[in-house]
Amino acid sequence: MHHLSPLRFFWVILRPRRATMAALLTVLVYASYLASMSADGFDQALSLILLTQLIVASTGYRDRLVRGHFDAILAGRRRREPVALAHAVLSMVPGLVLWLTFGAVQHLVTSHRSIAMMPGGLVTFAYASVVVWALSLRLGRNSGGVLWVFVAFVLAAAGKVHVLREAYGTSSASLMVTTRSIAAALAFPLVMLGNDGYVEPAVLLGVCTAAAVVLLSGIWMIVRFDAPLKDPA
Amino acid sequence: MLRGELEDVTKSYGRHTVVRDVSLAVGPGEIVGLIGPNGAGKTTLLRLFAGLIRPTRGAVRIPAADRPALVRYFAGEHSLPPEVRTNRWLALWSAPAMARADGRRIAGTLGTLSRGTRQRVGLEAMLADPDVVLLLLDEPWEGLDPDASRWLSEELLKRRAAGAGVIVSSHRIHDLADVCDRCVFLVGGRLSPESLAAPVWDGVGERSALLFAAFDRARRPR
Repeated sequence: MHHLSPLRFFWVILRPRRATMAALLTVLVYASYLASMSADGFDQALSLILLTQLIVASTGYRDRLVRGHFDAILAGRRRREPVALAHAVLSMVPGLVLWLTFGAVQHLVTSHRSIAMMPGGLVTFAYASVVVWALSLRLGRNSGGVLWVFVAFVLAAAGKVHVLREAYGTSSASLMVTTRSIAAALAFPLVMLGNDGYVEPAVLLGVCTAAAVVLLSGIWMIVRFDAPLKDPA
Repeated sequence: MLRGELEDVTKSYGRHTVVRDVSLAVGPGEIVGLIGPNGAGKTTLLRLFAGLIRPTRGAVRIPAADRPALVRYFAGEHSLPPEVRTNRWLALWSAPAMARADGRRIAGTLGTLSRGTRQRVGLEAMLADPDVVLLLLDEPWEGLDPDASRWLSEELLKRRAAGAGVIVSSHRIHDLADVCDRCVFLVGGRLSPESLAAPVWDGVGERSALLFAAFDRARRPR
């Protein structure tokens, strides 16, 4: 009997196209170039890779579900949670490979630790990835990334990024400071890449919890999706 | 043991009811034909059987649901992901690589294939596992050439011989007449009391003519 795992199915279905692979490689090369140019280059490179992940991890679900692309893996399945989890994981893998590769390069090139590999860097990446993945489930491919980039531009244009950076404290002196830091990190996760990647444990915990809640919400959405097949005409 | 069963199932989207109070079962080694005009709810009925959508009311029973590998559903070539390479899709389902008439293997993505070839690829993938117990096919003969149509009919008969339950929705009544043990008619989301089983048409030369006549009766307002 042929049992097909959801991971194997989505490995084939969500595999990036050649053009996407070429774009990811270009980003890696350019990020390495940025990193080699100045001390601030690593931060810029990480931001660039994170921005790429915002787009790449927004794989979408509903628009392909109603076209029947996932029928074969969903048919006869009582529980959809493994399917949802496999979709989430494989949506995030291409960007994760890019992030870790760059982190390894940074670790090799510089004598100190790589921000990408530090808890703050990894949590920033995981949170941003899971949010755009969940946003795109209903809105469509790339939509989560585009939406978040748009919000970031609006924040920048309104001069609020500076306010968020200020709100993001590095000391957990009080519950109020910690709460403000978590809120700032959730609204604009790039702030966690500052301070040489050091993030207060309480803030890390808060952002991890938020990421877990978003992931579970996305899984719940996939489990609950119930839409008619789109008319091919 | 039944291969699949709907019991008093109703499916609505908002105020629009697509399928209403339908009870239908398919047994082992049985091919059920599903006939109905466009918009009658045939696709919705098959998707309910496959567990792809949930009934608004009623129960769906698929004995094999704990082992999803036992249920296969194919909605037609338009449901195949166009950007996936054909050989990868076939390998996913352990189906042998397909060859053209000239013997060359079919290459490229599913989206680049002709409609008929895509339909054949989709069917080959869904029919690759000999242990499937419930097979649900929506308009499977659509776009197939005569050779592929004959291949499909033979494959369905093999599945029946192996004990699978098969439900086939199609407008091609003559193809259904060749393979089905019984046919049911879906009109306006309801199953018509009019249905035909093999004992009725055994020995009858013109099975399709019989089916056409029954379909006309099923559509008649009561």
